[in-house]
Amino acid sequence: MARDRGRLIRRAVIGGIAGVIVVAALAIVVSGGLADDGGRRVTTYRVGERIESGNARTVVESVTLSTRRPGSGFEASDGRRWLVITVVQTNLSDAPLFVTNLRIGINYGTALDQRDTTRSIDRAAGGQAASPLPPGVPTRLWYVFDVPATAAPDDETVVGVYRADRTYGDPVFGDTGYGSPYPVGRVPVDRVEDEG
Amino acid sequence: MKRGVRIAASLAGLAIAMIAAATAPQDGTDIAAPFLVRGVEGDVLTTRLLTTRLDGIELADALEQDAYSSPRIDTEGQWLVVHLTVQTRQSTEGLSAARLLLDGREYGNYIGADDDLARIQNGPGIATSGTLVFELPADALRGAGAGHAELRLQTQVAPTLDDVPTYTLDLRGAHRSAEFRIPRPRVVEPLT
Amino acid sequence: MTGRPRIAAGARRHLLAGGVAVASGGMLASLLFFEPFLPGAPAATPVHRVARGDTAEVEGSGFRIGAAGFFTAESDQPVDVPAGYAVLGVLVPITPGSSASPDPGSCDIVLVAPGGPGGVDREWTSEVDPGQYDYGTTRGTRSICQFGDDGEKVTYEGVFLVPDDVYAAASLEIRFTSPKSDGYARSVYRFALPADPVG
Repeated sequence: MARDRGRLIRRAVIGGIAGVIVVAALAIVVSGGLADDGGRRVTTYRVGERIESGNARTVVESVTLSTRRPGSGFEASDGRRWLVITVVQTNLSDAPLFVTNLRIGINYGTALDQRDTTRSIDRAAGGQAASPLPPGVPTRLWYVFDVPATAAPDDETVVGVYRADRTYGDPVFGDTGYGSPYPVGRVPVDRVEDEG
Repeated sequence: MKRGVRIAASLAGLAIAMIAAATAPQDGTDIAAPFLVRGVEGDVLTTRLLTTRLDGIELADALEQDAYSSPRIDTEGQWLVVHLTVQTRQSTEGLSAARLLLDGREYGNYIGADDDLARIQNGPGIATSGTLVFELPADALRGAGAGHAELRLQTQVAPTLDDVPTYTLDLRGAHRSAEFRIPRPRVVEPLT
Repeated sequence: MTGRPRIAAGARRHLLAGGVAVASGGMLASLLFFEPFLPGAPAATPVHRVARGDTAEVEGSGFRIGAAGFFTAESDQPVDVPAGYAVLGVLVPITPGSSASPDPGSCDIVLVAPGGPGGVDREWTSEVDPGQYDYGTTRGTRSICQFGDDGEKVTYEGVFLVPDDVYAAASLEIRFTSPKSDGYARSVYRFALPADPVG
């Protein structure tokens, strides 16, 4: 009799501890893990400062607004302007890196955040393609957004620097998939050059 | 069977299984690696899909081309220009996945030039001469491997179990110029 | 009661096991031996051979080789190609019949010849810019395989840059994909080329 009760108590204790562990694990999983939520604590950098993360080095150089697109000189449509973020990207890995891994966002107007595809990326030094970035060569890129002429940042202008990891497929052709972009730095910009 | 023999047999089986698991290939890359068919400048190499000849290499600080949108292509590094004659053997192939291996790093040919050879789609038996260009860091030639870089003319990014024409290049003696004008690819006499 | 001699129980077990081993081993051995001769899955795409001069009826339209030419830099009508090459031109009249379907699907035309690596056929597609070789296309012909629109007869002209020794072994292959209503079924027709091409 006493032995049965003892066994019962032992089982209850074990079950209780297991239950607490399961509940705690679920709570951790649901809340996104023990690590920091990337969106809340992103390092702030200055314009011109090096940001190194995910196999690449990023330097945000300037933000400009213009009716003429850099490089080709194409005029923006009526009521629109080109918002251009000039960034120098350097591939720090040992293999070709595609610019789709290196995203840039800006809080300019309602439609531009890192979830929005960077509209296009032009190679400032010429050529039809920004990719692949060869290892070790700093490459100046224009991240070009087509925005309404009336667009303006909510408060201060902040450029977001993101990385996205390729999840499958080959990087040149074929079905290439990328995971969600995650931020690696935020760069407040004092002045946006307005070139009219 | 005697109990002892049975135990010994089971242990032997377990030992064999452990050895097999421990010595099994760790990842698939070695098993599925491509076969490299090697040569140097001037050699005609024949693989399953291609017949190729390396006609020469040179270096340039900038590229020029007859493209209204992008007449000049500059770089913070340098351009390696590879002159090739390529002939397919069965259908059309693209060379957009060509690779240069130098000092442990891998470079892909730049795909933003209008007239590079990678876009050519002539049928089998038709030899086409043109160039591929690779963007390299400014100090690429100072590495220990500059005398034996490897050019791999892959038709796909991961050529598992296929043969790949591979040329060994000595970059140190390559002629250098300020600008190289990319020529339009042209049909030339057959390689075979 | 137990008049006839019985096989001992142990021997029965061994006999049964032995029988199973023989049966499965035998099956395995014979399968391994006969596997190449087993009927495989039926070929996905039927290939129909069309003899010289014949017409193929597909989705109510008739396809045939109207004429072929084979031109080198040395021909009476020369083309601008290096030694070792030729330009092979083919005219394919496409004639819709009375039962021609309004949605016949699509077709692709390639030139094929044996001699590829591993026994695979070689194939060539039509040149986008035949003028670069000084080849003049016939007026009114189309460069894309299309079934006649609105019951009109059209002529497709294929222009292929090829090595100068392929004519004898080459055929023109038209690859059809039926419309969605027929499940995009594929069929291939191989046309023999004329024996005496122009040029």
